Parts: sequence; structure tokens; C-alpha cells
Amino acid sequence: MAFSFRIQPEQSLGSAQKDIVKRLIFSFYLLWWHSALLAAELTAPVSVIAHPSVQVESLSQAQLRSIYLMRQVVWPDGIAIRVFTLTPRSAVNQQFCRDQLQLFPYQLERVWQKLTYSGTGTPPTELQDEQAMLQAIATTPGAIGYIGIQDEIQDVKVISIKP
Amino acid sequence: MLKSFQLSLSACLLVLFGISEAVAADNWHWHGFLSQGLMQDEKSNFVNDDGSVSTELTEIGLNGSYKLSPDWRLSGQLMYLDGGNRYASGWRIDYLFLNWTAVNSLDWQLNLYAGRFKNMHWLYSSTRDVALTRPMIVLPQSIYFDAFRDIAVGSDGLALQSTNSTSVGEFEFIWSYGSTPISRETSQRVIATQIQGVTEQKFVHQASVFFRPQHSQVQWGISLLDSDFSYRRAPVDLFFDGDFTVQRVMANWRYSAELWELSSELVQERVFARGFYQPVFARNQFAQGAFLLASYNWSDSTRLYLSYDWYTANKDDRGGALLPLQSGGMVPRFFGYQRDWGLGVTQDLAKQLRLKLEYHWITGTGRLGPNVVPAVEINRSRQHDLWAVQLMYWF
Repeated sequence: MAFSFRIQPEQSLGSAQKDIVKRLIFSFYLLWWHSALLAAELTAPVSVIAHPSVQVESLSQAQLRSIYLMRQVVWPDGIAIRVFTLTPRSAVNQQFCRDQLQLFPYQLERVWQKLTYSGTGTPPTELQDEQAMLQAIATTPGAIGYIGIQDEIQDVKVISIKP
Repeated sequence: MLKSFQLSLSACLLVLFGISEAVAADNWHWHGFLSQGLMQDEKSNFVNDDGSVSTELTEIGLNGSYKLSPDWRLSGQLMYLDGGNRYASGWRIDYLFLNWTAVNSLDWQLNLYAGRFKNMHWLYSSTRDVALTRPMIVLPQSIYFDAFRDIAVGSDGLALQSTNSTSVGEFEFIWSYGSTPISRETSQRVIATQIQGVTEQKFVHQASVFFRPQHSQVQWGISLLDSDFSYRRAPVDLFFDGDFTVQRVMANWRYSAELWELSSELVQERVFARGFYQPVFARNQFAQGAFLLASYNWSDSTRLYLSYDWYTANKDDRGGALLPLQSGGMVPRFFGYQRDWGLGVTQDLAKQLRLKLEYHWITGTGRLGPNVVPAVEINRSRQHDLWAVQLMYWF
């Protein structure tokens, strides 16, 4: 059952293929350089918020991730969790994904699409901006979402996130 | 029996869709996708027999999910597929199952599924025919062999999925047991075009474990598969009664960075054949395969893909040297392996509209159907390149 990837004589690389491999390595170097330029510099902190009726005061990052991966669907008191997100490309969403969930937005989207099209879950509700987020969280029992840090947050509950 | 099962599934789905308008929006979700493409593999039968440009790259799906209670949910998807020679075309019930959430605490979730469910054990298996979820139009054939798609894509039976969050990371365990009805058309695509008898999958038993370490962007997984098939010959048939055992040992890995990602899957597959070719015949063969897939986010709307896929039908004969000897010169040695370099680009044209283009440089014909009695009269070239373009919309 052991793996060994021996190449038979007929399968050995020709000079044209070696040339392709060299070009690919060079292309990867260019992409690496490009990614260093593009990597987002996000610094604004994000608050996790919930409907005031939610009984939970704090969550671990793993627990928050379970909620946003749509695996954890009820709060400990049995109330259904309603998950809200901002548009994937918004700066606050990217900060939230990276800092609080330790995931990148494209990973989350992939999981949601997998759940949606395999029947094993449903995606969260996407909102256009932070004002809509505040309003949705304040008026939806069991809701959880996030916004950029603000001086005063009213009508919603701030949940602390433990590493 | 298959027809009655499909009719009952259809009835359930119609009921599911019928009641949708009457229930609260919170309990009811529906989604869908529509994709159409063009593809060509001029020198093989991968897409069609004549090598012409083909429009047989259509995938349409409509799914619904209804929450019966906080712990119970019914989900179903109706799908139309046309992939040319790659798999059977037409409408099908892709999945229809009852989901019971047995445990839903903050650190442990346990779900049970009963009905027709998707194969959740491999990296891309559960949504392999949903164009927007696939990294490439043509997935690495070493693992996702298209001729075998209808058998590997899901099962009728029971499945369990457990996820645990611990201090060292997240563990996910998936188990499933069931079988898949096999049509004659599927048998002809997998085994031999001349086949006349009845092929049955007796069972398929799978288990997999995924581990995502805490504070890490790496995911590791292993997966095991055990399945038995039988073939019962027709009164007039070239082949004899036979039994096949297929066992897979697989490993997978994925690393995700902000702008790029690498993923890989490895497989060793044992096929133990008894009978079929002759009344008294036995052959035990181990195939191996692996792919490495890289993707890079060039911009918010453009993603690049590069893949290398490697497959050998017999690990003790990687170059296929035994094939001409065993077949009296009928089967060339390049039917014993397949290697594929793939390059692709995905462009988001709008929020739910995407265009994919890709090109594959393919050497060897080891992953072209049918697999047991290969189509040597069509696949005469060791090198056969493939291109494909696909436009997709989803909601």
C-alpha cells in the first residue's frame, strides 16, 4: 500500500516540459511578488454584536467560527441563531473574517456555497452596510453580526471574543 | 425499483416545493444555478466521439430546504446535467434527505442524514457538478473520474457528520453507508460500451476525518472507502457474471493564504475483480493518483488556477508496459496512465455571474471511459489537449 511516485522512462520530462516548469516557477515568483503588493492592510477593529435577548456574554473564536460556518444553529437556550454578514468585499467584513474568525472571505463563501448546494445548511443573510446591520441585529431575536468599532453602540449587545 | 424510488423522491420534492409558498420565509430557503459551456478534446472520446466542439457542458439545478423544527430539516435538489461522454445526461434527483441535528452545542455539532445525500468525504465531491463551487471546469480525473461520477457523487442510505472544537483545533468526522442505483448507460460509460447485463452496487461504506489546527490555515484529511459491485450477464452477452471490490485510501491537504491557496488529494485504489472476463478469473490491481491545485486571487474579480494531476492504473506497471502484452497488442501502453497540466482563469462579470476558461495538456488515456474495456478505436493518441469555457449564473 506504500506510495512511491517513480517515473518510468516513457514518462520522463522532455526539454520542452522542463522549460514549461521553469516558466511556471518564474510565474509563481511574479505572483508571490504581486500578492505582497496586494495584501490588505486592515487595522480597524471590529465588534461582534447580538440581539439584546441573546443570553451569551462571550464566545471563543472557535465557537464564533462554528456559528459563521453555519454549523452552530441554536444558542444554548434553544433560540435559533440568525447570522448576518456584510458584503464580502467590505473592509469591515474582511477585518472580521481575518481577526475574529481567522478565515479569509473566500473560504467562508466556499463553505456557504458547499452547504447551500449540498443541502447540508443555509447561508447567512448578507447586508449592504453597517447601518443595515445595526438595524437587523436590534430587531431580530437570536441575531448575531458585526460592525466597526463605534463610540456608542445602542440597542444591541456587544459580545466579547476570547482567543 | 429504481424508478419507484425516483418517483417517490420526486413526489417528496414536489410536496416540498408545493408547501413552500405557505410557510414562513425563515423556514424555507431555495437556491439554484444555471451554467452552459463549450468544450473540445479533439483527439479523445472524453467529450464526444468525433472530437468536435461541443455544447454538452450544461448544468442546471434547483434546490430547496425546509426547516421542519429547530432540529429537523428536509433538503432536496433537482438537477439537469449534460456532459457529453463524461456522464449520463438528463434530469435527476441529486439529493433528497432528512437532516436531524442530534447535538448542537457551542463546541460539538452532530448531524444525521437519511435519504439520498452527497458524498462529503473528498475535498470537492459534494458539489462537483455545481459549476460555481468547482475550482476548474474539469476536476482532476485521478480522484474525480467523470465516467464514475454518477456512482461516486452520492448514496441512498445513512450518513453522520460530527464536528468538535477543541483546544488544539477542529475535528470533523464523517461516516456514510448506502448504495447508488446504476443504469445501463452508466455501466456502458464505466465498464464497456458493449455491456448488456445488470450492474449493481451492493454497498458503499465510507469514513473520513478532517483536522484544522487552531490558529492555522492548514487542513488535513484522510478518507476510506469500501464498496462491492456485481455484474449479472444478459442471456446474450460478451461478458460473464462477475463481482468487483473497490477500496480507496485517500489523503487530502489544503493551505489557504489571503491571496492564494494550495490543495492536494492522493488516492490508492484497489480493484479486485472476480469473473466477468471469464467464468474463472481473478485480478487484484492497485491504482494510484494525486493532484496539486494552486489558485491565486489576481484581483477581487479574477482568480487564476494551475493544476497537475497524476494517475496510474497499476502501481506495479506505471508505464503501462503490460497492457499490450496482456491484450495481444490491442491496448497501447498509454492506457495505463494519465497526466494533466491544467491552467484556468475565472472572471466574475457580476455578483452572481461568472465566466471560466481553461486549457489542459493531457498525456495518456488512463482516465477515459469506459475504463474496464477501453475505447482503443477512438483514443489513438497519447497526447490529447482539452479546452473549455463556461458561463454560470446562480442565486
